[in-house]
Amino acid sequence: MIRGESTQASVRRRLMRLRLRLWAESAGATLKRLGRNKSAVAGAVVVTAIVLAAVLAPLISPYSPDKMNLNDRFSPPGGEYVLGADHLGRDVLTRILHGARVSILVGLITVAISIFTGGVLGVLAGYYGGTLDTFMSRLTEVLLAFPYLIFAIGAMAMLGPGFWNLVWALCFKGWVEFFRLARAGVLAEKTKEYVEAAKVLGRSDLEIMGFEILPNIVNPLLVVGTLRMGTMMVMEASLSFLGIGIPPRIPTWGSMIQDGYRFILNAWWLSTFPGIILVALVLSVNLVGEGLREVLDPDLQTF
Amino acid sequence: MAAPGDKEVLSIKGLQVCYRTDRGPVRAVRGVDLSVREGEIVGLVGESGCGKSATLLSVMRLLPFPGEIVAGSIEVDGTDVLALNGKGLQALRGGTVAMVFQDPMSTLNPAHQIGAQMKEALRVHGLPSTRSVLVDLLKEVGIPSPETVLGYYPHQLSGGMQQRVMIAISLSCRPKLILADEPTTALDVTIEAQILDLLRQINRDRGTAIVLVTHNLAVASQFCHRIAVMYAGQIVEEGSVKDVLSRPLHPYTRGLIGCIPRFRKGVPLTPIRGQVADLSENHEGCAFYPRCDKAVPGCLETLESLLDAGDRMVRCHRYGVPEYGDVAAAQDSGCS
Amino acid sequence: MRGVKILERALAALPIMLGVCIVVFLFMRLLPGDPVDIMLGEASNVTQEEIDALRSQFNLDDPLHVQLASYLMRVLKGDLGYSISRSSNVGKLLLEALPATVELALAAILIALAVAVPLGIITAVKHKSLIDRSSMACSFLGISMPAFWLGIVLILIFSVHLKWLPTSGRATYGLVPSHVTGFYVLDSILTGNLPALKDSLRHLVLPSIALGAAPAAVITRIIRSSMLETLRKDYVTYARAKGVAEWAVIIKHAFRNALIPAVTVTGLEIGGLLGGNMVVETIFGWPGMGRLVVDGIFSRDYSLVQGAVMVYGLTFVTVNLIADILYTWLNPKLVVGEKV
Repeated sequence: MIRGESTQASVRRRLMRLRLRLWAESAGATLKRLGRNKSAVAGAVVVTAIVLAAVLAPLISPYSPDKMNLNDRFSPPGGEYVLGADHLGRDVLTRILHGARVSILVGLITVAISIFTGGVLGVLAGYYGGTLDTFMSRLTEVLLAFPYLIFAIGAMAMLGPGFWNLVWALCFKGWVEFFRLARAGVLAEKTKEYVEAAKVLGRSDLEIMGFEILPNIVNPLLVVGTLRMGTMMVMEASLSFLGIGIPPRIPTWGSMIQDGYRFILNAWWLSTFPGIILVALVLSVNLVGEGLREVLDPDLQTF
Repeated sequence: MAAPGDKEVLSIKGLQVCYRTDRGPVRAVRGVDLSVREGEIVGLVGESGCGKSATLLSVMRLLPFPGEIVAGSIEVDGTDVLALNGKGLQALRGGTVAMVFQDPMSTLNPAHQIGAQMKEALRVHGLPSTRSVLVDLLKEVGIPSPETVLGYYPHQLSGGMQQRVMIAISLSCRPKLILADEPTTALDVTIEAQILDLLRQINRDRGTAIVLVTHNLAVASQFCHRIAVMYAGQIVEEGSVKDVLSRPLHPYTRGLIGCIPRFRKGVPLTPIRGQVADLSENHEGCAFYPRCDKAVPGCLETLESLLDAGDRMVRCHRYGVPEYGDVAAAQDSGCS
Repeated sequence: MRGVKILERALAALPIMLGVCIVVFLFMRLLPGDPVDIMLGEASNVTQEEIDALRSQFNLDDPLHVQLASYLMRVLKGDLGYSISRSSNVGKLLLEALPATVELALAAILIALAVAVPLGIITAVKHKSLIDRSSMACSFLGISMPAFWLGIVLILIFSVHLKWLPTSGRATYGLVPSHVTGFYVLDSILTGNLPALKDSLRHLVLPSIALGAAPAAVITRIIRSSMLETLRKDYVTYARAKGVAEWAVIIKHAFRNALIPAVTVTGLEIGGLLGGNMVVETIFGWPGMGRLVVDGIFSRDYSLVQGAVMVYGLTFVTVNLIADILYTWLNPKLVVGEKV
């Protein structure tokens, strides 16, 4: 009895190790194929550069993001301030570097929460069906009936500005897409023979969902997850632009564009530069996402 | 079947087709000569990927990208097809030559009604397309209640009926030649016989020449006057149905005949060993060499043209050589 | 038969609309504490009557489901609540702002389709050519560019620098056409007011480009991929084999079929355009629903925000329903009849 159990445990351990190795191998293969896609590589390089700049922002910034120098108000770019200075005499470059932190964090955190919530709920709903599934599916249909930005604006109007409020407002609807992808994937997979086989072998539901089905449905989640990081960043910028996203004291690209917009007639650089970097980052993230799509799930319809 | 006339409707000489793929060129057709006379039914037989369809599509100049005709000449009813463009090509397609495709389900446009699809063919060739013309055509191909069917969408018809509609469309502009690319492969066996009957009837009544592409030797044998057997982009044997089937000269043809199931007890199927030749490779000599049980080293020399074997042709080194075996023996026993 | 399908789809949209109303109602309940107190927290000089109006609007003393029921009843009657910041009925305010918003949205959709349909077809036909590659690069840029920033760049270039087009508003003062429908372009045509027509079109150009760019990019991609699919189909080869001219093959056979799957996504995209609409209206000072909402947020006018979010939601459902109906109508596979 004891021996039997320990054998079983060691078989499980070995199986686990095998699975990990297989996953690592397929991840390696994916990266290798992604490496052959020039635009994806270019995107990855830009993303990496911006992420590095954001992480190192306090070290590499020429000024402090909040340092005002009223004598230098509206200094045009090219002089002492590389990308110019704003209406309070703050360095635009410095604020762009610090603003990158917000964009990247919002993109990462919201997508992580959305994928996790949506994925778990979707797998459960798809696997068990029943009332849970019906309820969740109806709920997602209703949530999908709101344009994303409107929904986020409505939520922010109620919650008020703030980093975490923004994250919640975005995740509130963000999980829906992943739920539907995961659920559809599970529905397609769960009738296949390998799942039947796993059931016959006495695997628990949790093992079947986690180890058998999940690896087969995870690709579209990863692709859409990558692309949505870009969407979330645009969303954050839009909300901050409207003044209902991140509170004004934290530098973000959206609020910088908003500040610049007020002085559009005499200082073009204030809105232009944060916008360019925002577009560059979102574009690069999208390029990586498209590259991933081509490798992982060429038939997936995106955007 | 109508007795074939003397005039040539289709004449293909030295046709070579190449697909320039990412993994290098694939030579799908390597020097095909084929001639079809008025009112004649010719079967083009061979396994999938032997270049049958590419040959047909070349006649219509419809080779899909990256396929390309690299050498040879094609004449339809005296017109040089390869020199045509624009209007001339449009007049040829569906006008002088009509085509019937393999799977009617995917070939008829799902978004248009049957009547509209028939009308279109007549209109582009400047022919009257009144309702009565359409109804007559549908009647001719044996569609019940043609009036109703005109308003149907393709998915409302069964496969056999869809194929009849396709045949009606191909008939509509009174072509000299119908190219039928596996017209019955997607259909049930009982329907297959009906469709072949219909084509035969058209051949008889209208004197339209037909080229039937099929992988099914049995179908070809019932239906055609003449058969050309293709292997690896070449015609390996050509002759009248009777000759080719009763006394095949090429080992490949013999192999194909051996693969036809028979309803006799105790006759085992004899499959051809090996795999279909890879067309991306350049074959020295006979392409069938690796699979041939009669092969000798001399087979690796290139055979430029078909050998004349009386009123038939064969592409085999060993033809006419004394040790050729049973075929040569048959030759000796006076059946030239 | 198709009629039944269409009716089915329309009926299926009803529970979703109900769900939209419920979610919007619950939005309000996200707020901790008494909504009326919160709403009035920063508003000054509010009359007792207005407070009473709000109190009765929320009937907070009832249990939740009773509140919900009475809320739904009011919505059904077209009563979307009372706006304290504008001292007016929310429904009335939104209705007044509606023509401006719809005019802008329609212009943006028109621009998006005018660009996307031909470009989607051309890029698919000339697959992997220079025009295909450059269009796809542009569409990527269009997808990645936030509408508000594009709007600002357009203002910088065409209004500030080149001084070709006005920076904001719907019309120059004094050139507003007399009110017939509320759509300035239509009104100026109806009243034969040429200067007003020119003026309102000039005001419309930049915002509708800013709003239409992203949908144009997405729809181009959808039509392209859908066309690439249909161009490979047997029926396209067959159309050529019938002698049909190439342009007719592309339009009548490939595009006609490519349209069917493209319609649904186009509907979604057009709905998504409603979201961008808020930001674009803010930038261009466009007096529509979007700007009303944004103003409402800053004056803590929750009834206004709530009402607008619901109207946007219902509009989105309706747009998708129209796309669905169009899909049903375009797709002959849904014609069911006896097989012969």
